[in-house]
Amino acid sequence: MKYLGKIRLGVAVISIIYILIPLIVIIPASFTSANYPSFPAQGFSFQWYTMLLDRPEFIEALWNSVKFAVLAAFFSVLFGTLGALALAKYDIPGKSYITSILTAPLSVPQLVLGIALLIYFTPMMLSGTSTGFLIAHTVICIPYVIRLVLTGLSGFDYNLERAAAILGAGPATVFWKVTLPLIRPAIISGGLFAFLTSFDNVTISLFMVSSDMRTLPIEIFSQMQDSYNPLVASVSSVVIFISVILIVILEKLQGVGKAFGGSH
Amino acid sequence: MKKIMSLCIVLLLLAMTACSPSAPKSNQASTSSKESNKQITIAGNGGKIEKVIREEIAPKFEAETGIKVNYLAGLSGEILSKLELQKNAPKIDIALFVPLDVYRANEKGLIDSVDETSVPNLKNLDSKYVAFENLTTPAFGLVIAPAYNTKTFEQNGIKPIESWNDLARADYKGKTAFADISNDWGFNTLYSLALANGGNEDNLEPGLKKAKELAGYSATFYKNSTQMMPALQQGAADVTVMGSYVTADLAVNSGVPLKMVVPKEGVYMNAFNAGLVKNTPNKEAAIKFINYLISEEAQKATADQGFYPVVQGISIPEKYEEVIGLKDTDKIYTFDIKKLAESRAEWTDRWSKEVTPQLGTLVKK
Amino acid sequence: MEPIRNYVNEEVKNQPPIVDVPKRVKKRKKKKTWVPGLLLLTPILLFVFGFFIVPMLYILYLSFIVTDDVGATDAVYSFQNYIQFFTDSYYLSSLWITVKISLYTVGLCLFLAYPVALTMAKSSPRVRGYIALLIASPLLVSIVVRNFGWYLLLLPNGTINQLLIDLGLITAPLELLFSEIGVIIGLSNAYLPFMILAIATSLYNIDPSLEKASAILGASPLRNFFSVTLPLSLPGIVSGCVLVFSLSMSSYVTPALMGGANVPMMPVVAYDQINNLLRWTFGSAISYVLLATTLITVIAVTRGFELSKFKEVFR
Repeated sequence: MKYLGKIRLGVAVISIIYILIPLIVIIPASFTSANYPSFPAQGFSFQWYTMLLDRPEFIEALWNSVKFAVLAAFFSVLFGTLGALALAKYDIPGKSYITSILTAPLSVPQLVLGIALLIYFTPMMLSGTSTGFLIAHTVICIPYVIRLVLTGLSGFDYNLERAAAILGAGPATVFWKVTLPLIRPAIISGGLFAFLTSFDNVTISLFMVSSDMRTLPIEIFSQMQDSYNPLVASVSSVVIFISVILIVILEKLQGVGKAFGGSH
Repeated sequence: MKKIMSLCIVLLLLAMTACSPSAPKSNQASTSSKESNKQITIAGNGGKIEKVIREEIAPKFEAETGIKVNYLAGLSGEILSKLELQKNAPKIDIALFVPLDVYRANEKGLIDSVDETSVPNLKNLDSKYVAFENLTTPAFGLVIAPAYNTKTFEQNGIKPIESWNDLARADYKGKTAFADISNDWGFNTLYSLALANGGNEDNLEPGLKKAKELAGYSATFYKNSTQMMPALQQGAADVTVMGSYVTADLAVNSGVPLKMVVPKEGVYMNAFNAGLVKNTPNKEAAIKFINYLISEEAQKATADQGFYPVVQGISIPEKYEEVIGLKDTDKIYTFDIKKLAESRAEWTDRWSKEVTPQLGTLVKK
Repeated sequence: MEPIRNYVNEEVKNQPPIVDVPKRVKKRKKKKTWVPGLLLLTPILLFVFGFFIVPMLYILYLSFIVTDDVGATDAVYSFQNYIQFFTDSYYLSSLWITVKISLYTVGLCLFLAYPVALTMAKSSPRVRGYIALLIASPLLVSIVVRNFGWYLLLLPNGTINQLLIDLGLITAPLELLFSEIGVIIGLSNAYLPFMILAIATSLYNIDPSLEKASAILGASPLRNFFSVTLPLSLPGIVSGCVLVFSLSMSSYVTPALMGGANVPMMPVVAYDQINNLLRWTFGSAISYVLLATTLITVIAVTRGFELSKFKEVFR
């Protein structure tokens, strides 16, 4: 029966490589010495990185993107976790319909949602403001948190909460010490997707931005309108490198496993 | 608990920094409106135009007049939506449109015309460039024309392209990169094919018929025009129809041996037009900018990016001459923008239903 | 632990339950009063209502207007946009293509995701963390840039076709781009991480002692998988499928870049109507047909599972 495990591992490795293929193309393309990206990349040079140094707007845009993505992820995790807890724990009537509506922002083409929000925000004086931008991003991030936290709660053993309560813990303590640690992997996964969704969004952002508030996807979108050069590859690679450094720091400080680890 | 507290503080700080840019800005805007409009916002395509405005034109303009120029990159449809929604309190002062969108913006009452009294540089304007009823000011000249890879054509002994009808030829079947009808380049191809086959603004039928053949020899029509560039760079396509400034960029900056052709039926002198947004509070500054946009200095900067200068007496840089240079003998046509704009939806529908299904049908034969 | 009674195979069923849970606990598990639940739900409901449902209601209103000019006072209300959609084979086939491609994408993602999720569940938390970050890392790169990467690989003269030709597997380049295959490749590549983490999340919750118990009782690893692991991971599978399906149904960038004009998925059609032809009202109607299709499918599937014999798993 050992071969089953081998097949599983084999497919798993293939899947992971499959996911990483775009990076396998993009990262080498950023080191090309040619004037356009190709695969396999031609030659080797840092010219597209040095060129990036002359473009401070990318750095500023990256910082903007990170700020908004962190905030959007935070608010969607806050609202989403509370909502998912309520849906999982209590017999709320029409539960599956509520869940579907909360995840519906995923099902609307983003162009339409962008227009809807632009129409709605304009009289409220929210269009082109950071607040409007953040709200729009939170709307599209919430579904991930709801879905993943609900999944995390699906196998949840409520006896543990009860046991804690019997031992004299207040509801807040039960939540912090029992519930939260158990569903943490789900929350982290939901938050991660919320962050990445906001970080990569261009369609809705286009409707929400003002000229002094540009995010990285918008900068890339604009850069890619009339030309396709390795600059976009080098910008993307820089984002990856920065993330790797942050993850290494996180690992040193706390350990990646602690954040993602499950309950067993 | 400590950790959570610190997390909250970090988030609070983030929220403050994220939301702060808007606060000082609104202060600035209110004070500046008192002291003669110190900033204007321009909306238009991203890419080359944004680059030349942000890097060349805006800094010089600010140095000269003290007016700061912001640029908001976007898609034409979305810019129109924004203008329409902000009709009563525009946040955009100047919008850059292709001629068909000028018509649409005007239909919706979103733009004001300018004249020579306020924009003196208008008198230098080359009258070839299309502007709908002189409402807007052509600023970045281009033509939408076929281009081909001279090297592969030579190697394979293929006859150069001379007519719009040459685009549908078996010699390079499957190796073409044409934009879809939803794109300005694609719609222009349809119109030009119609002209080349005896049609006109009222009747694009001959163009549609020819386009079916074109589709047969093409693997796809590109929904995203940027994607046509890697196709040409990687040698997956040798023939294309695109804006002259992009052809120039590919040939000069990416080293693709492309050459633009003005077909014997002609091309039209297209331009991105600068339109003054109606009711803008910064009208005076915006008009100043439009005037500057067609000044000799600004036009030289745009020519350097591969656009045709729209004023007389300036020529494109030598490096582009070989690729996109226009000759006096080249035929130029004009057309009725109103008619084309009004029938665009109908032809787009028919294109999707009749032309698109033919894609690739002749490639395998 | 409660759910095990309902689906574990016969041998187990005839044994006394592994963990004896008193009946009254089961009753308490679901609180009868849902008022506190509603309090927890209020913030998100208000937020989604205020910033999603209300703006989208305006779009619904638009979809019943006939004129192209949104601001017009002479607007005529009718079902015309919907009638136009459902009587035109072009739009109907677009809906069908969209559903078909989304289903293929879900299937491919499920197949590729499960082994990864299972591997993660069997690994230490540290390895889990690293795999999660590794599979999420491509999402840091703009979807447009990722698709351009695929584009370079899938071109007729691109690396993949070249490789297949060199290996002698094919003689002429495959049509990997501008076809449904290209779109499915692009979509599944983009959404696979979502499926993996959704399934992994539910696998983490499975008590390893259940599998041990089942093994002690003589179940083969295969049987163990189908009777214990798979049913218990159903919530994750459903979640992942719902996420991937909804995302595929509404995606614009990938179908436009990988499918070109050849694969007119609904969001692409809606986009053209709205952004290029400024037919907001018809575009709105298309979006609502799309939204309704997705929601009905999702609700039907989730309700189906919740009412099925596996319902206990979803508690």
